Amino acid sequence: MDMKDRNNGKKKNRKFSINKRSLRFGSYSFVLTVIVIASAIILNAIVGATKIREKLKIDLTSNKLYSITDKTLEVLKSLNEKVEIIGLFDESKMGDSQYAQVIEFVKQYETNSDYIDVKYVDPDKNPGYIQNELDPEGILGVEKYDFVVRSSKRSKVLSTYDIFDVSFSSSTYSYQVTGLNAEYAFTGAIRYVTSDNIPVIYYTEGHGEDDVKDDYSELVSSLELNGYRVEKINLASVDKIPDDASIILFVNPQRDLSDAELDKLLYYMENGGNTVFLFSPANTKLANFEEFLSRYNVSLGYDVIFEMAANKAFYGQPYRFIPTVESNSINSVLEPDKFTMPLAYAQSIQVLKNEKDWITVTPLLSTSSEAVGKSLFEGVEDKNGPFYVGVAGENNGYNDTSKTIVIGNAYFVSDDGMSVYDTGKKFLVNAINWMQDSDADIYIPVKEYTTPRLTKVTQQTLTILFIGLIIVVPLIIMGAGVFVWLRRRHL
Amino acid sequence: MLAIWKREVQAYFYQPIAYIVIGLFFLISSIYFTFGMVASQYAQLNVLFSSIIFILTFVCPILTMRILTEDRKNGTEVLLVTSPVDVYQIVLGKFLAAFTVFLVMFASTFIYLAIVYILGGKPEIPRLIGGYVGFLLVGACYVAIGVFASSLTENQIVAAIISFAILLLINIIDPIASFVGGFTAKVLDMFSLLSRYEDLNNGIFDITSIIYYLSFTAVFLFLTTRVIDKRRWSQG
Repeated sequence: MDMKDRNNGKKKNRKFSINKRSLRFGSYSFVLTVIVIASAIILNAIVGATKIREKLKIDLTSNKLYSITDKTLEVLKSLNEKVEIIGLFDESKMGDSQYAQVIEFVKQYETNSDYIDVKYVDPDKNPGYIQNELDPEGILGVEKYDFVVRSSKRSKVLSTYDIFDVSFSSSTYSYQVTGLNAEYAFTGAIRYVTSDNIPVIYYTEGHGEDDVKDDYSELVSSLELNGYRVEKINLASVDKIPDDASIILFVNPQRDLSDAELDKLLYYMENGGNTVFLFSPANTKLANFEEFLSRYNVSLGYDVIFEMAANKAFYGQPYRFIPTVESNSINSVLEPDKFTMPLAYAQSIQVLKNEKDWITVTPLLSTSSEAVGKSLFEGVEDKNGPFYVGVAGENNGYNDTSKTIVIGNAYFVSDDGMSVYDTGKKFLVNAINWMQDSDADIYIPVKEYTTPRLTKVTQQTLTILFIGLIIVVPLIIMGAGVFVWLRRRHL
Repeated sequence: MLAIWKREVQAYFYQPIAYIVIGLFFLISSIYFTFGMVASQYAQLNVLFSSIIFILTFVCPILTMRILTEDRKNGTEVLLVTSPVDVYQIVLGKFLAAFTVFLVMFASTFIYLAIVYILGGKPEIPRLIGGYVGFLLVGACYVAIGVFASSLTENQIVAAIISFAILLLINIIDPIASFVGGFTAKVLDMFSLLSRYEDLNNGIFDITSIIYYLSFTAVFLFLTTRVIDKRRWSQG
């Protein structure tokens, strides 16, 4: 009995001591495991912090696809006010899409300047954010997947077309992203929103123009929201067009420019000046205006457009119609397919057949082929469409690029004209914003997605590779395995 | 440790398993290389890497399934852990052996580089190096996961299934993160081996990614030593 008890006691003790030992070991092991995993996480968190991480990156691509250039660094160094870059999407959902590259790229702006803040807001999760925060007037045309760059002064929207270089591929008949234009877009936008020199739009008087401040007040406020100042100018009474003139705006002039005014305008244009002309139909020949417009290969039609296509014109009023908004890089922001902007009483804008390498004309608005242009001059025959009623012209023949926009109507942006459809101001402000882009004296070329090619591939090559790489070599490798296995099986 | 490494490497090549794994890897890679890359006349091998990295999900579990299970099954584990060698040396030796086979397998892709040059291609070398380094580091992580899985069981098939399951999870983390978004995506990204790999392969040599891969590998090898140690102590 004694013996048994003692044995039992011994057994119990041993069991207890093992438990204690393994318990001690267990907690030691647990603590050690936690420490090791925690230090790994902390190490990764420290080096993963954006600022450190960006400094630890090396760009291996030959065209430095992910690096910002010295030009951008200069711009960033000269910043002295906060600039926000807001991406309108959920950045964690972009995965491997091409936007992932842009997200990577934009981080460098934040790393290299204390004044840049990058954030992402998904408009689907924050409905009203665009409308309430970014674009209360609905003028910037901000949409999901856009970036908004903004300072306390003004904002700039960057769309896919601004950020990527997109080209039409004739082999696949589709648009393809062929390069990254992000640096030009973002750096340009930062300069634009922080610039102290607010661009001034001067509207002219003295040729029977409409009074812009009175009759076009909505347009004026849109322009001001976009960072412009709107001022009046009388070309006859100034020696030259002021240096701060970003655009000279002519709204429905009824009389021609004098020769002296034309000279001032030409001098302005040759130095990169931009102009906007809104010409409602008039039966007065505007020879000096035409002389100026010929520098962009553009002339006036002196007619009134009657749109005869039933789906384009207002019922019974063929002079009121919906022009086609052409799809191109200028109009892309507007989503031309859905954009509706009626014109009433418009004249055609003609493109001269005087092609020059340094002149580019981009159609903005057009009619259907059924449209008829009824001449305002007696004895001149009516013409058949299609017509352009709005074009953008660029002249690169001088030191700086000079741009113009010529629309065959002014009423569409007047307060009256926009009482039903207010799309006119969006259209015009967008076109005016386009004119600002190349004003930037900073040019960063597109970074092309280069793919080195194989040059000596024939059908025969593929056959040889197929036999060699896919049949022979794997068979040899696996055959060696079988051989080894067979030999060693008998050992 | 060196002795363990040598013994294990020998064991690999004395059995058909290494040959089959390497042959299989080469076969599938060659199909992608011939019909994916050469047929489209691409000269940048990075394109190939991002297509064939998924093969590792299947190949690495096969490569590592017997590395620790065998010892337990044959009862040699006791001999090993009671020998004067530290547990971490055992684990490291075994890991390096499996990784050596991985390296041999990886080296087979140099044939493609030679072919690219023969066919008149001039790939961007720095980007290519980024792709190679990324592939090796992902491989190291996968092998470490495999070694860990094989320490958990004495059944080879079970070990292979465990590591395959973990690797599969790693493969689908990115799509899941992209789908859910937000904070969850950021947490999931901590386990995303492949998004970091894509960066490297696309030409962003991010030193934090290198640190991430090395610490990922180290943590799994460490966990393996804990599993073996725990067994030693609980067996008394």
